[in-house]
Amino acid sequence: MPSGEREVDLIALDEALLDLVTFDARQSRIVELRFFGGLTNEEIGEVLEISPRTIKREWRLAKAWLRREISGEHPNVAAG
Amino acid sequence: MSLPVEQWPRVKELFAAAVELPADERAALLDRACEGDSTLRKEVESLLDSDEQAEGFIEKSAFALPGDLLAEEAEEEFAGRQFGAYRVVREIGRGGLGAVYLAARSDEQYQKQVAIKLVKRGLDTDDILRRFRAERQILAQLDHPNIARLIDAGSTEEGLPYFVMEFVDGQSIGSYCEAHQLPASSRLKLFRIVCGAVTYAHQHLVIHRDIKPSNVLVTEEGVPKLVDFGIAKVLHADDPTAAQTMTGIRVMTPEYASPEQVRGLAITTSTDVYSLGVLLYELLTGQKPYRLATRTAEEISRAVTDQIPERPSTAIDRAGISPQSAIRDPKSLRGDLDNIVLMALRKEPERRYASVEQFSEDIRRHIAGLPVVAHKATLSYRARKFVTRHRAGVLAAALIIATLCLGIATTWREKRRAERRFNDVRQLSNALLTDIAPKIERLQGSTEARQSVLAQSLKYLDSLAKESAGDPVLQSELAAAYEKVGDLQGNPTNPNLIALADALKSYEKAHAIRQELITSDPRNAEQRRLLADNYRVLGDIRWQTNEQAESLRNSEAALRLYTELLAENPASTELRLAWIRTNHDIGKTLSSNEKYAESIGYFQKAIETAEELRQQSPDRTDVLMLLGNCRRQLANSLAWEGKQPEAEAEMAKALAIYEPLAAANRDDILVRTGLYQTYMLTSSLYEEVNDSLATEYGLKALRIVSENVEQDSANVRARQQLAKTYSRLGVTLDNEGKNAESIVHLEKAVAILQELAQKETKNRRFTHDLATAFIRLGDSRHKQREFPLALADFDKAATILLELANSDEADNASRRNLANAYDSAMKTHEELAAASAGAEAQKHRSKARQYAQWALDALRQLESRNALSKYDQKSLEELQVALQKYD
Repeated sequence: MPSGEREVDLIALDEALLDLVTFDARQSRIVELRFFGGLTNEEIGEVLEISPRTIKREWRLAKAWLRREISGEHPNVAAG
Repeated sequence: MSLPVEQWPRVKELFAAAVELPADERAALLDRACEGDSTLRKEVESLLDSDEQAEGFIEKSAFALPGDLLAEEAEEEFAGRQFGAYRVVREIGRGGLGAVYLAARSDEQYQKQVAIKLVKRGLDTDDILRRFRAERQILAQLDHPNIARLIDAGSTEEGLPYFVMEFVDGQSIGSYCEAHQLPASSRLKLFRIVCGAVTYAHQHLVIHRDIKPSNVLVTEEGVPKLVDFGIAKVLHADDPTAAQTMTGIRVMTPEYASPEQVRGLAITTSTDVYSLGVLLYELLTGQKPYRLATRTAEEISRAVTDQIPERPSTAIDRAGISPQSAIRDPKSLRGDLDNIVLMALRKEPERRYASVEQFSEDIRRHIAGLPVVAHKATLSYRARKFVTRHRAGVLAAALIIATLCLGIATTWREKRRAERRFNDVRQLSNALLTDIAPKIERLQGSTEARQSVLAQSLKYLDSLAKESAGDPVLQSELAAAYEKVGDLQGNPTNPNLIALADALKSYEKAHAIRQELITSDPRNAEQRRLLADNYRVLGDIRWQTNEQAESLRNSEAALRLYTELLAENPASTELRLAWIRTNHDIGKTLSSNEKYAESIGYFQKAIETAEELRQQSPDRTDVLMLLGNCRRQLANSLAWEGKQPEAEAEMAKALAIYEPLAAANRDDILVRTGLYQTYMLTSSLYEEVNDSLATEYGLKALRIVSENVEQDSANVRARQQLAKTYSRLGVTLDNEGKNAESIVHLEKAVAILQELAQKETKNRRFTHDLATAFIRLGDSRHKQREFPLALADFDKAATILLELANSDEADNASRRNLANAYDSAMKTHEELAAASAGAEAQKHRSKARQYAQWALDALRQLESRNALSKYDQKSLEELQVALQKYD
């Protein structure tokens, strides 16, 4: 079973998305379309008029960021 | 976020660059790029860390389906790869399921080309293969020129399932139509071929389940072929263990999913009808039937189950210049084709075409110019659906209450616990009733569903009542619940007396409770207001059932209470509204008893306060309607008092309120009815003053009520109003001298009323209106000199009216009209006497005398009851003179 594939707390995700949209609206939209809308990258590309390659890049970062937010593992937690 | 927002683009850049690199090169890159900015570096590193663990994170979409898994991860090139006996030539495309490859049998290069559909991870391959084997027999039998055959299925070494299908060298039907700029007629022909294929499959017991444009490919030669037949079932069947989604919705492709698929209900051939409907919609309009803003699971399921699609012809108009300019011929779409498409898109499977064949047939009929099967969904259907959808909720709540009632325990502790739950459930039940009631009131709706809901609710309320002694809060709630039920019973769209009697009973039950509450707490303002409201409604119901004296008493009691309450709380808008309404009600009751002079005062008071409210809240529909109603009633009373110019001015004001209101609220049945009534009164206002104007307004009223009847033919009240309108036009046209037209209208009125009266023999109003219509018809015929026919009509009227008068001592209106009927018959006989000679003439003269006497007798009866109006008095005197002539 690929890692990270467990039940997502949709409410936490929703809250995290509310944060994300404040500094990267496009990524937030991509996540919406892909996760909630079930669109493929190609379809998202058509909707947002950007290339699938760009979408893949954005999606990857968005995932990383969202996952970090939801899991509560902040980079500065351990900082002095 | 730990870093300031401005740094985000930099973070993005670094992340993108670093994520592809192996670990050591990564560190080097970050060293260079971050230049000592440790915060930045930490941020990027933590994201990179997170990325490592985020492979599967939210990869499965929220209403994740097997079919929706993305072939994202597999960037792998499959070219040259072997799948069983087939070797992949190249990738053809990527769809929701996964990638599709062109392959050929490895021994013969181009002779047998196939398409291999690879389904990505997440599914249980064994299950899929098992299902495929089960379906295989059936699917193998599908041998049809327009169906792409499913040849084989297998699984790769990695355990990924794949399907081998007949290769179709074509494009999706949507693209094909666009590329070839096909006109609507050609698209329809193409569509019918697709229907043929689906029908064939249905005959072989295979439902496609996932029909959408990308599954209908068209070759260059113009041959359509359906692909993916049966795959949907194989992929996830109705297997309850198969891919349960987070939100519990099982949908193949959201925009094309049928309501039953969205709700997880049984899939039938009707599901394919629906999907074909969506396909057709798109082919004809270039748009999808449902407007979705965000494509979330909730929105989609709501749209599919609740949103009514825009008519295709409207959708095209709205889109303006559509890219498919070849099909932009809305004329060909309007009407039948609209209805055909919409019928396939009905939410309920049983309301769609019974089969794909029927669907296709209807299209053929449309092309051939023949009448089609599809019909408009009526408002009453929507209303019915609304009620049945909520019925479950109401009944459930009611059932819970009942269980609790029966099960209320004897011990104090258990009782307390039961009471707490009791409160919640009771609130729920009330909320449901409150929620439904205003909506039902405003829908032109059917009544059967409503009646059963009400019957149930009453049963439970009655049992609740038994338990409520000593609990004033509960009692008040109970009274409110009875009143709500009463509101629904006293059904404004079907004023049959039985329902009104029921409504009265419910309100009386509430009344008794409220009286009790006041007795034990006389200063309670809230309870006093509720009692006042109760009185007012009692007054209104009684007015409708023709208990005039009682009605007045109730309304006056209400007015007294409201006046008291207003003195204590002068600013309350709700109280003022109620006060205005009650004045209006009293005025109306007085008018209908011909006490016009008295009524004027009440209307004027009501208007004054209503205008004040209007100043405060100029946009409130309820205030405007009330004001309009009061003004028109005032106009009516003024006219009867002989003050014609003032009446006309007042009526003009009423129209000035209602016409814009109706224009702004086209779907509001109450507003439309208000305008209708205003037009009707305006028409009578101009009667014999300016008859062509009277006819004009009658026609305006006719337009409104005809539309109402058209939209809901089961609406008895609307039909009654229609009859009344015809009757009114009969009078105005007659006055204009257009006797023939008048007769036509009156005959229509009589026809409708006869039908209604037959269905509801106890409804005095119908029979009374019927009698009036006969009299008017007779009068018109008299003017056309069709004397024998006229006499027949007067006779029919008299028979009805005699019965009405004899069965109700207090019925003055019937007696008055009876006098009219006799009077008219008398005049007809006089004409006949004048037109003949000798014995014949003598016969008619004695008949005329007889009728005169009868008419006089009827009026004398009114006199003895002090019910003579000015006009009656005049008629009486004229009759006396006429009789003297004979003696």
